[in-house]
Amino acid sequence: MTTSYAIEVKDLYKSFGDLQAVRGAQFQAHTGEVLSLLGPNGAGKSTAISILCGLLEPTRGDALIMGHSILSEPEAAKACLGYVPQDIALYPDLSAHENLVFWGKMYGLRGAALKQRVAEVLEIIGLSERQKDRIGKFSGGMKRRVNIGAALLHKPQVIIMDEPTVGIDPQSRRHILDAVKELNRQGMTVLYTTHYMEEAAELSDHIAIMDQGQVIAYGTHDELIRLVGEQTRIDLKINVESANVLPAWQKVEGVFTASAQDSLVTVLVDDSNRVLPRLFDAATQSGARILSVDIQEPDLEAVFLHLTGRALRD
Amino acid sequence: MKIIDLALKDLLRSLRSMFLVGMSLLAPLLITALIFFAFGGLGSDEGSSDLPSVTVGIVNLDQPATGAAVAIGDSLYGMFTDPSVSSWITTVKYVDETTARAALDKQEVGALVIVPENFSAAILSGKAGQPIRLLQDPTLTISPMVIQNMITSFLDGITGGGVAIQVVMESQSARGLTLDASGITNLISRYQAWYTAFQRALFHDPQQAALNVRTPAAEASSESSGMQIFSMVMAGQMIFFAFYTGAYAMMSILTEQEEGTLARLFTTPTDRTQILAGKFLAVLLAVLIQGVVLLIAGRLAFNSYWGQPISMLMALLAQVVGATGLGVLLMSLVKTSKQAGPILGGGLSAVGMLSGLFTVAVPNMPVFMDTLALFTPQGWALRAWRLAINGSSASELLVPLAANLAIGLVMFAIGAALFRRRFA
Amino acid sequence: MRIIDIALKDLSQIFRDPKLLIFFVAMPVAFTFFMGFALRGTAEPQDPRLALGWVDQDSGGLLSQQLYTTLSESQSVRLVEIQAADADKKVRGGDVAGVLIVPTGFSAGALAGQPLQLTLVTDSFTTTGQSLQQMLRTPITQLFSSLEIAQIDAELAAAQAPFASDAERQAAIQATFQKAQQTWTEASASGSLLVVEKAMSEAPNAPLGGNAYNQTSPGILVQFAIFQMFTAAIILVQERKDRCLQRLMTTAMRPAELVAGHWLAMFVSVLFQVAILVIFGQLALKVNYFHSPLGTLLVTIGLCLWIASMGLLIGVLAKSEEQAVLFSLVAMFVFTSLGGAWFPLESSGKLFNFVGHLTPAAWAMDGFQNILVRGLGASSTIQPALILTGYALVFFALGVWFFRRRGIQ
Repeated sequence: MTTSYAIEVKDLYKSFGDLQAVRGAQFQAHTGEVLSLLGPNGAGKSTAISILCGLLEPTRGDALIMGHSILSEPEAAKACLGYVPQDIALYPDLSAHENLVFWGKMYGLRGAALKQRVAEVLEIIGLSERQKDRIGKFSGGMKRRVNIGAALLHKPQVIIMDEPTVGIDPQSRRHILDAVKELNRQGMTVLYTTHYMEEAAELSDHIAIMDQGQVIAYGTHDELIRLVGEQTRIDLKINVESANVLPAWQKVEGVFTASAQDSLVTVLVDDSNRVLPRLFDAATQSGARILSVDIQEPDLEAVFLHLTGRALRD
Repeated sequence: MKIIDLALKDLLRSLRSMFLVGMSLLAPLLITALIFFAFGGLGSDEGSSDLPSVTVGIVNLDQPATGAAVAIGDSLYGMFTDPSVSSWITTVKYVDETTARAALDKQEVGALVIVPENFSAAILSGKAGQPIRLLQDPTLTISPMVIQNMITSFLDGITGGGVAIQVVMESQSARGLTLDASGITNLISRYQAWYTAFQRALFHDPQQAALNVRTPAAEASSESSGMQIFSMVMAGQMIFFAFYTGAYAMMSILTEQEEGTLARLFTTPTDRTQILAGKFLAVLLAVLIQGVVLLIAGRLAFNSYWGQPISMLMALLAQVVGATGLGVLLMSLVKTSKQAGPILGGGLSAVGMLSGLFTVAVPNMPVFMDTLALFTPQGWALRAWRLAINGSSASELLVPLAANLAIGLVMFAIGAALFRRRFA
Repeated sequence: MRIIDIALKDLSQIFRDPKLLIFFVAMPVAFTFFMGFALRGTAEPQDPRLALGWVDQDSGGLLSQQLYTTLSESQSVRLVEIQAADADKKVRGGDVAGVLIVPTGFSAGALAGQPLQLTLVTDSFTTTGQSLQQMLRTPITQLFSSLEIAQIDAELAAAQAPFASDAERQAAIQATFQKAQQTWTEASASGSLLVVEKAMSEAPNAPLGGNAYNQTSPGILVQFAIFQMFTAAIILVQERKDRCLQRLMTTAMRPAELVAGHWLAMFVSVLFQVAILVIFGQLALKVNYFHSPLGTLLVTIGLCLWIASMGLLIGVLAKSEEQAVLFSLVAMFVFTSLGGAWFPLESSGKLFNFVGHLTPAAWAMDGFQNILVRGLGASSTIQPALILTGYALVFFALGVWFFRRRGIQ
């Protein structure tokens, strides 16, 4: 079946008792593109991913992987899919080679084809020389490479990566981002979940922003930025609790939204040059002193703030 | 095919687990080796067990007058110091009871024999006197019993002489005949000669003994009874650790869940039923391998006797099915590997205890314990091995095999259903 | 003070684990009860008489009838008449302890001076079989003794006045034989020439001091005290794995204090368990540990010192929780089997007995049994307690040495 969408999510719902983790999520990934699913912790990204991978059943709705329904054709859908979980999911007492052989078999590879593909993947992840060592003895970065490698064995058309850079050092993070680009360059459709907007910005052809179980925005990076128009973001650090000054700043002319976390206030304005002096005046009147000012051009953080009134970062 | 891949993967991990290898193979072999070491000689075809060394203290207060015909205390002492028993009896003479008791308390001797004053004189006069006292260390049973038997046999000879004199004299008198002193002496000599020869034959010459002892299983099996008991002890250990192996191997499903690899498996185009089936197969193989290795090791290292081939295979099958079934059921009832720990350690040990796995060699077990064992798969497995080791034919093993198959399969079915419900 | 802090931390980790109740208390109590039940047949036999199968192929014979009468009145055996063809099966199946077979022509042959052998079918490797042999020797000896006396008497009579016929001679022998049997019975009833006493003033005259738990209670106590040390050893393993050990070493804590603190926690936890089991044994099982409270305390402290030191060594050597459990189990199997906790060392061979007493568990068992079975006082426990302390020092030294060698990795 030919389709221009590698992934299509249609009106997906998932409830855990009274909690609706996913509420009518809807997005799609074109074949051969990188789609990022961006959102804060608890947005429902992992739940949505789990449904796509067949780990959870949706309460309602469906999704298609390369045209195969995850409900009516789950095995066909899984055969097209490679999944890289957030945590290392490998057998620590088996070697890298043994892990890859096993996972290859689980994806239906056998005999000489399996042997050859395992060797290829080991080359791709740069661990050919350590293939006989047990995973338990590997460093964190090496484990992550095998973790990714296990998802590539059957040359999937779609690869889903669930927050693969959480908690790792910048160098390893760089490697992973480069690897994603390379996989995409080879023709793989990548669904990449993250709560780091810069990763989404760097990697993605399209971005779906998710919050509280819903996709609240979808588009290219530029399209999303345009949602906030010409809004400029100003981050101000003040010397008092923000509760003292926030109400005053929200009333300042030219301010679209203002949100605060402790002593850091983020304000979206139309023209930073005109609004900034007003902000200083309001601060003075409220008895606050501004310690630092950081002006930023519109970005996804701003988009999220605009759409939800909350910061993307925790 | 994927079922086999999954099973082989789990089996490989099991074999690499030092803990599981230790518990499945090393522990039962170690315990068996210790018991074999403790009771070595059970395998002897000569039928004699290795007597423990016996140390006896003698206090001989019986000092008959010089030239007296009989000095029983000295004779008793002579019996214990005779060269024929010197290799296994050590005799120590004490001058008084106080010194001797102190030695007994310090466990320098296992028993004390105190021959009272005028013992010989009382015997010869036919009047009741003080008896010989045997004081034994209450923590010992075997060596005091041996000493007691020796003294009893010795005293029987003395009593017998008295009976002979009394009966013959009365009988001759009834015929109007008399027995003079030389006649009595000849009578005693003749009787003692007969008695000595009789006792010697009884203890040392099975061909001439009045009582010939033979073991019952001599026709059914070529193995000695001692080896059969030892094999039963090893069977008890094998069964206990087989059931442990089954449950521990099945625990892999919980550890995979915690490792995240189970979820990953579910994202592959592999049916969940296949995944579960692979796990069950791995458990079965692990228990089977364990059983086979222990049977072979037992035979090679300890010359254990496992019965006729068909009976042995039936007993093994009962054990494997029971262990697999119980392992699947137990692990289906817990949610985490941490919860599984007490189930494995505590639960299986308790059930093993109730099944009689630890008391196979204890005689005079209460009957209700045999009945209790019938409620457990381990108990039925033990029953099957008992029959096999005792040389029973295959037909006699059908009942315990069928019972274990039934129990094992029912447990397996329940456990499998619970797992399917959890992971479906 | 830091030593106490470490110990208290360890103890809080140990005692908050729900497994504690199972391994510390429930399992040893259950095992003690069970094994005591199992051994009650040995210590307090309800009917001590052994079932003896009787096959009389000499029906009507004088000697066989006499033997039957004697054994029927025996306090040691209980006759069960069976068929000859069933003899082996009955013994194999455990229905009877043995079968005595009186062959055809037994009485006639014996009276004619050509006695046939009686056959006892029994498992001579079991204590039951051996006991049965001992029990039968006396009545059989008396039977043949009576026959010999009767024949001597007949010879003496014939020397003076020959019998008119062989029938007369046989009648005389039979009469004398019966007289001799009766005399034997009277001699046995009139008082034994041998009195057997246990060298302990209070215990009843029965094996194990009349209480099967005298063996199982200290045996299970020693076994589980060794086993449970894995709970404390795991604390050390986890501390290393969680990298808390490394963190501790960045504080002012000295390594010696750390080792001492962990050891103290192990000692207290073992002492706690042993105390519970001693009290349980005393109150519920009537095992008289308090016959000598000081003696019991000395043995207990020696035992706990040794086990704590061994636990320390295991905690230092093990690289994972599973290894700690495995090492503890191996230690338990080796020391309890060699040490006489499972079966009295007396019943094993000389070499095993010797090797067993090289292990600390044997000395702990000796110490407890001096009090429980032999009724001795505290002085009898000094040697075992000192030996246990010596072993404790050896294991502790090994533990410290390996700890220093391994470092914080």
